[in-house]
Amino acid sequence: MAESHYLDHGEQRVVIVMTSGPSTPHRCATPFYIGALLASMDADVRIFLTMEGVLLAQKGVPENLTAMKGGKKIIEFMREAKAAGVRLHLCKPAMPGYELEVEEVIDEVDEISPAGALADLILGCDKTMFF
Amino acid sequence: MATVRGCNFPDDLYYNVENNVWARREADGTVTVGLTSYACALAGEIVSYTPKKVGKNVELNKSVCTVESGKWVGPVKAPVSGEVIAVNDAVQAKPGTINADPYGAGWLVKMKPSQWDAESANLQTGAAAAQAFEAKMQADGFGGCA
Repeated sequence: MAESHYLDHGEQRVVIVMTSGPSTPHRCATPFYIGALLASMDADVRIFLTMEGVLLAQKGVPENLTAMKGGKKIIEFMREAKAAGVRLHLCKPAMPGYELEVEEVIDEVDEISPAGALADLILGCDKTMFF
Repeated sequence: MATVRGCNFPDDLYYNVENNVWARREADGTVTVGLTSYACALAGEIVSYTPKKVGKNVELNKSVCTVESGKWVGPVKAPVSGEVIAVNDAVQAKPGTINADPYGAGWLVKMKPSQWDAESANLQTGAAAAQAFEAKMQADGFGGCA
């Protein structure tokens, strides 16, 4: 007998720190799916792309990347997360290490943020998740 | 019954076109809420339904429930503000009912609306709703309901 689940947790803020990138494509869809799910439950969700995760914000990468063979493109997971209310942050200090220029950043990114913004988000949120 | 690109939109319902939800005002003043056939076609076979608990007050455009398919997850946003007075146990047991009968057995929640007159004025009905859905389908590049 399956247990019944209900939306009963109030409105919380969740920060998802996304460090995975194109070298581990199978890790690149679920964080956005979970973000979409949490936002659908009225949580205030921020996904912060840092370390290799910044490459998911490079034009041409998420449009051509899937987590599984024949699966949905990562850009679609990102767009669905945004449609559910997720805000996407891109870590500014991580960009040079991956030779990512501002003009190469996909339109889906809401904010290019300093590391201090991540620290502030983490210290002020209810839950953090790292992928 | 309006049919737009193979998707049915009953005439007696109020629609939030952007959010793809419908509301039916019942004789006792309560409101039944569900997903449109268009939303079901976009989502594919729905496999999970997580509603707000009975007794919860939900503001306009906040989630009354979430639904998941194998390829999509998203909120179902309240077309009006009010209290959730019933959730659909049959759908919880068999979420595919939403796809099979979106305007009947696949209803999602029942609400006691708090501002029906004011908020329902912003929902669309009849031919205006059908036109708005056609425009949305055009913008979305939607091929049609099967």
